[in-house]
Formats: sequence, C-alpha cells, structure tokens
Amino acid sequence: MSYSLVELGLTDAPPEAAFDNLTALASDVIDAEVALVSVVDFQNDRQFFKSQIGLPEPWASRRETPLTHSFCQHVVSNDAPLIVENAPLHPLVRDNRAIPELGVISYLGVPFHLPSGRPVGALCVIGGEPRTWAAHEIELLNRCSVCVSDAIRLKIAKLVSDRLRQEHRDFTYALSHDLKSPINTLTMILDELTSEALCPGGDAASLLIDAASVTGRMGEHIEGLMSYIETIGRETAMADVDLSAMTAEILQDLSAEIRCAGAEVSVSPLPVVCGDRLQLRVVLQNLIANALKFRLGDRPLQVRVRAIDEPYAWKIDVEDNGIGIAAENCEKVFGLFSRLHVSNEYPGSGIGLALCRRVAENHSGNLSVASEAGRGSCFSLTLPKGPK
Amino acid sequence: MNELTPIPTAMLIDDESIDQKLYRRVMERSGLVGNVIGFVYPDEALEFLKQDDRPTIDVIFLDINMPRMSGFEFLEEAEKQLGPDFARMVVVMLTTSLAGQDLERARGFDVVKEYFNKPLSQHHIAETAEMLAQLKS
Repeated sequence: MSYSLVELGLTDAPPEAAFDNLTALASDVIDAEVALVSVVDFQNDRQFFKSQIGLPEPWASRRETPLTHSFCQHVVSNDAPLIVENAPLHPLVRDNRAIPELGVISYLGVPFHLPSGRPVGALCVIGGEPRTWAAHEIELLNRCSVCVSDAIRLKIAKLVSDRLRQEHRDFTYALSHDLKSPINTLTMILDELTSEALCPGGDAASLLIDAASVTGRMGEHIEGLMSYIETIGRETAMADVDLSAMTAEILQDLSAEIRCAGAEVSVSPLPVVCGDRLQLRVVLQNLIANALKFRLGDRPLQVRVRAIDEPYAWKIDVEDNGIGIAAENCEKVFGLFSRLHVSNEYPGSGIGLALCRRVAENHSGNLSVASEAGRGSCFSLTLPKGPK
Repeated sequence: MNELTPIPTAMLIDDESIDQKLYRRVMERSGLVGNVIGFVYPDEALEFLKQDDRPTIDVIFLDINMPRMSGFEFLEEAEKQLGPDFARMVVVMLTTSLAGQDLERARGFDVVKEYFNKPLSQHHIAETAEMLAQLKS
C-alpha cells in the first residue's frame, strides 16, 4: 500500500503539532529565526510548508512557494544536506527568488524521508545574515529531521491500520451475511419438508435437491473464504517468478474448462517478474478462469494473455470476447463479495477479483478492467519492475 | 378474483431463485396473497415498475444484498424515478439481525413500512396483510 503526499496530509493540509514541535525545537537549539518542514512537490512545481516558524507574511499564511523560491528542492534532488553560508555568493542558489523575496541569506537544510527511503522534503533553518554553520549544528538538525521522518512513518502506520480495520469490518459483515443466507434458505426448506411430511403428495424430492444445492454453494463459499485468508494472511515471499511457465501450468489445470468452453487461448511470451509466487498464481488463475466462465453462449471464445513492457512496470493483459461489463459496473466487480449475476446464471462468491486486486496492491501494483457490455473485457495487472 | 385476497398483488425481489420458490410456497399456503410477480434482478423490477399498464403493487418483499444493485439502491432509484407511490408498501427482508446499519437505512424510507429477519414465515405474511389493511382504511 502506498500513499500520496496529499493522502498523507503532507501537502494542502493544516499544520500538526508533531511537526510544529520539531520546527520550534530546531529553531531553538540552532538559534535561527526561521525553521521549516518543507515538502517538495515537484509534480506541482512548488514546496509546501507542513510546518513553519518565523516566516514573514505573506509566506507564513500562504504556506507554499513556487520552486523558483525553493532552496529545499536541492536537498531533495540530491538527497543530501545543503549548507549555504551566504546565498548571493553560492553557485547553486545565487539566482534563487527566495533571496530577494523571503530574505534568505544563510540556509541549512537536511532531507527527511518516506519509510521507503524516498526523500520528500527538507527540514531547514534560515537566517537573514551570512552565517557559518558548525558541524554540531548540522548534526543537531540531522537528528531533528530523523524525527520528522518518524512522524511521517507514524502517520502511515495509522492510515494502514485504519484501512485494515475498515477492511476487517466489511469482511465480518459480508461473511456473516453470506453464511447466514444459506441457513435461512435451509430453514425454509426444512419447514416446507415438515409440512410435506404432515400432508404428503407434494414435491419433497425437489426440495431435497434444492437443499443439496444450497449446502453445496455454502461449501464453495467457505472454500473461497479460506483461499482469501490463505492468500492474504501469509507473509509475502518475493522471488523471481516466470509468468510464462506459470501460465502454462494454469492452462494445464484449466484444460477441462477450456475444452468445455471451446475456447481458443493464446499466450504471448511473458516476463519473469519479482513477486509472490502463490499470490501471482491466484491472480492469473482467477483472471483466466473468469474469461472462460463469463463467455457468450454462441460466440466462439477467444482469450488472449500478453505482456506490455512499460517504462517502469509490466502490464499483463488477460483479454476475452465474452459478455463484458457495463461501464457503471466496472468498479463494482472488485468489491469483496460483490457479484453482477444471480447464482443460477453465473455462480460465484464475489471473492475472486477482490482477492486479485488485493494481491496487486500487495505488489505495489494495481488491477483494472477495460470493458464493453456484450463485446468483452480486458483485465490489466500492473506490476512495478522495481530496482534492478 | 385476486381482489378478494388481503394482498392482491405482491412483488418479490430476491436474487436467490430457490428462496423465491420457497417464498411463493409460503405465500400460497397462507392463502393471503393473490398474484406474485418475482424478479431476481432489482434493475429489472425497476424497469417493470416504469411501465404504464402494470398492475398496482400492494407489497414489495425486498432483499438487500443483490447483484448489480442493492435493495437500498433500488429504493432510492424507485423513489427518484417514480415518486413515493410506486407501491403501497415495501417490506425489507434482512438476512441477519446483526446488521444494525441496514436496519437504520431501511427506516429512512417512508415507503418501508415493515422489516423482518429472514427466513420468511406465514407469520410475516399475516402481519404484512394486517398492516396493508390498516394503510387502506
């Protein structure tokens, strides 16, 4: 799971005590007029002050500047401290607009990081006069910036924990619903059988057939839940996974279904990716099995599996010419226990695609669908290539 | 002929066809229900309700968790597209009594006069018939 700067509340968000305490502390112990926690948002060409102390107006209220006014961007770009004793004479920043407009002459900035190690901003102290920065001052500021990184780590931990709690609540609700439902049906069947027994001559046999189908479905549902827990609950074990070999295995396992569907399945060469073997297998198996299941009765089914080499990710497409999905339902298919069809048209538990998306997120990737009702669907699994 | 029964026309919206079959048996045995019109997809029930020449629906027995459109989404759409009088009353059928949030949401609709926990029994049909009689008088 990864979060954007906005989701983390690091840009376009009110000040927070955890960060304000650290700017106050830095300004105090280093005896500087101004201290900032500046988040560098390259995408929007600006730096945002998550916390500031001592800035003049209008900057104190605006809490952001364009990058033309940013010393901190260099701290982030180089992931290294920037030490400026007299800005107008410093080759990197002498033309920076912060000198005339914010009165920045001396500057000391050190990076802070996301838990992944990516630098996202600088903790800096600023003065209006030339100043020599002592080694112990740099060390002090470094220690404060580690605390900024820790405050961010804490925010992320809170977000992850909130999300997991919500997921757990949804799961429990859906679980109790979906297991109670067949029990209700069986209770009614037993009532009906009782009245049949009291006054025979009816269709007890058909009630028994219904009862067997209900318990069968209930069993499949529990199996589905077990596979969800098995897949998600384990520690992910990252390794090189040969998707071509894996797909061949899956097609072997699904050979009966492929024959039954009369499907033509074509697989282009697939890459070796870094991922959890069991989890990735669950995704490919589900996507291919879905393509076979949601076919149009009279149109010969074609399923195509291929990989697209993108700059930072592999995109694995599983495409079919089956029944497709109406635009308004495309997101719904990924909801846990969410289904688009009644069970005697296309049976299912509504677990498969929710599980697949979760696996994609476990791999810092995603799973999406492009589809048109009546024409077919293309599910795309995106897996980041990661550092080589 | 059906005008003589306490619930002349009932609509059933539930995605489980086995459940529908059982509801029909319970209703038939109660002798309180005339016509039963069943749908497994709420969006198809909505299309049916939009027809001008359809019969008056006295009671809709409505499931909540269904494919494509939930029972609540059905109620919202029906009120929006057809006004509050698309049926004399709606009975919401809850799968579990544990879902307090569903109960709260069901109470938010004026047309929902009754809700009960599944499974549906003779007793529920009799209660519904009584409530419908009160609404009519």
